[in-house]
Amino acid sequence: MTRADAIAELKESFGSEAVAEQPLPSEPGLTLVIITEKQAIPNSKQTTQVAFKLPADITARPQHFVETHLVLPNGQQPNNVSNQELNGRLWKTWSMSTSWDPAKHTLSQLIDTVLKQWDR
Amino acid sequence: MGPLTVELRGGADLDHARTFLLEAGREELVAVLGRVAQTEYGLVFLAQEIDHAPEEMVWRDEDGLHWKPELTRRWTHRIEISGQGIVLLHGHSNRGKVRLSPTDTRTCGQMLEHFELAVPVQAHGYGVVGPDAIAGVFAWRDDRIPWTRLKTVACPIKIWFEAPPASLPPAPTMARQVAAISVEGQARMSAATIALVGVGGAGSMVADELAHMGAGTVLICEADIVKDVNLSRQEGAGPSNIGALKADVTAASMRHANPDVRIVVIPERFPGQRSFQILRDSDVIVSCVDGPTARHEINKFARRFLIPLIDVGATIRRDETGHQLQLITGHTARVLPDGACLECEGLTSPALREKERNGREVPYWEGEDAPGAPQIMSVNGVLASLAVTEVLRVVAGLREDWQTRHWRYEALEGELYAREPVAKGCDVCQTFGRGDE
Repeated sequence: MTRADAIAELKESFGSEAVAEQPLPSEPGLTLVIITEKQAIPNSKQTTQVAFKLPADITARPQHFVETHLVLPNGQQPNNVSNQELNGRLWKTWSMSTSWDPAKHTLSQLIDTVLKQWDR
Repeated sequence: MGPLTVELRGGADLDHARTFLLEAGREELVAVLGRVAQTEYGLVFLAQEIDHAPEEMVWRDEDGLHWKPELTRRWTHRIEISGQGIVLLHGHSNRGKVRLSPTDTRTCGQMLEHFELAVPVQAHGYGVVGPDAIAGVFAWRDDRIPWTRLKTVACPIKIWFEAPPASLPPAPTMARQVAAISVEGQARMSAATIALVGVGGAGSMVADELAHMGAGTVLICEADIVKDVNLSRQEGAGPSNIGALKADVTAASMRHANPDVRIVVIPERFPGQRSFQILRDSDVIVSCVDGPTARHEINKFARRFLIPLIDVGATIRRDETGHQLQLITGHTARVLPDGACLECEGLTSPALREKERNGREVPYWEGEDAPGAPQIMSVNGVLASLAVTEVLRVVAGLREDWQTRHWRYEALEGELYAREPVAKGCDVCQTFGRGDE
C-alpha cells in the first residue's frame, strides 16, 4: 500500500476535509496524517482525533496516535503508553497487538481497532 | 480570559538585533519573524529570523523613522508565504522605562491590524527596546496584549521587562556564593525557573544543589517511585521513602536545604499534558533521563521553544562474562538554541532510538532500574555538579558564550574532557522556534 493510496481511502471514508497531511521535519520521509474529525470511542463519551505516521510505502503497521486525554474505562492507561510531540502538538501512542496487514486491510479498519483499544 | 503576558524570545540573532537598534547611533527598524507558542498564562513569540529594514526603504525626520509602503508589502508577502508572525522593533536610547510615542502608537495600531489580516493564526507585535526596558503591544486573536518580556537565550540568558526589575538583597545564607557570583548573579538565580526532568540518581543531586544555591523556582517532572535499588544513589532518600514518588522525596530534601525555593512537582513522564505546557516557561531545562527516546523528546522540545538544555547521562558496562568492568562513561552537554543539539552530537539518534525500541512499537520504559543496569552514585555526582555549574553559567552569567558545550567523563581513565560540538543542521535543528506551528 502506498501513502497516496492510504490517504485516498481515508478521504473516501471520512471526507476530504477531515483528513490533514503534515510533513514531519524532524522525521524526514514520514508524513503525519490526521483524521481531524473527532472519532467516538465505543461505549464511551470520549472522542479523539486519530493520527498515523506514514512512510511513502506502507509495508508494516504504521505508528498510531490519539489525543493525550484518553483513559481506559478503569481510569488507567494501556500497556507501555508514551507521549510524543509531533509538529508542536502532543500525541499519545502505545503498544497494540493486532493482525492488521497493509496487504489485506485499510487504514480505516486500523482506526476502528485503535478506537476499540479504549473500550476494554 | 486571554493571555496576560507576552514574551519575545530568541537566540543570537535577536540579541544582535537589539544591540544594533541601541548602538546604531540613529533610529533603525528590524522585523522579527517567528511563531507563537501558548504558555500557561500567556504567549511566547519565538524569533526565527531577523530582517533589517534596508536603507533605501526608510527615511528619518523629526518624528523619527518612516518606511515606504513597499517595505510593508515585502514583509507581508514574506509572512503570507511562510505562515510566520512578525514583530517590528526599533530602539529608544533613554535609560529606565521606555514607551511608545504617539506616532509609534498610531503606527502600531495600523501595522497590527494589517499583519493580523495577512496571517491571522500567528501573533504580531510592535515594540521599542531601550537599554534597560522594553515596551510594545502584541496582537493575538483580536486581543491587544502589552509586551511584557524580552529574553535572549544564550549563556547567559538576558531578560528585559517593562521596567527594570527591583531585586531583594540576597539571603545571608548565600553570602559566600554571592562573593563568587555577585549580587546580580545571585538575583538572577533567585529569579530563575529551572525545569528538572528526571530526579533519579543524577537528577536528585542536581535538585539538591539547585536548592542550596538559591534557585528561585524548580519544576520537577518525574513519575517514578523510589524502590529499594534506588537507595544507593537517590539523594535525600532513605528506607522510609520506598514507595513514595521520587519527585516528592526530592522536593522534601530541597525544602530542607532551602525553604525559600519554590518547587512545582509534575508527577508525570515527560512529555505529559502538563509538563508539555508548563516547561515552556522555564529558563533552562536540566534533563537527567535514561534512554535516547526520552532524551530525543526533550531535545526537540528545547529547540522548538528555544530553551537552553543541559543534559546528563551515564553508562556503565561490564563484559559479557560480567567479570570485567569495560566502561564507565558519561556526558554533560549544554545545548543552546544556536548551537549543536543532542542529535547533532550523537547523544540521540534514530539508530539509538531504534535499538531502544528493540522491535517493539514504543520503547519499554525500563529506565535506570532495568534489571542489572549498573550505577554508581559518585559518577552521577561528577556529571550532576557539572550540570549545575552550567545552570549557574546560563542563569547567573559568569561568561558569555553562544555555543553548545559537551563534556565526556571517562571514569576508568580518570579523565574529563570537553568536545567542540558543531551544529549540523540536523532534523531536530530544523524545528528551531517552531512553537505551536
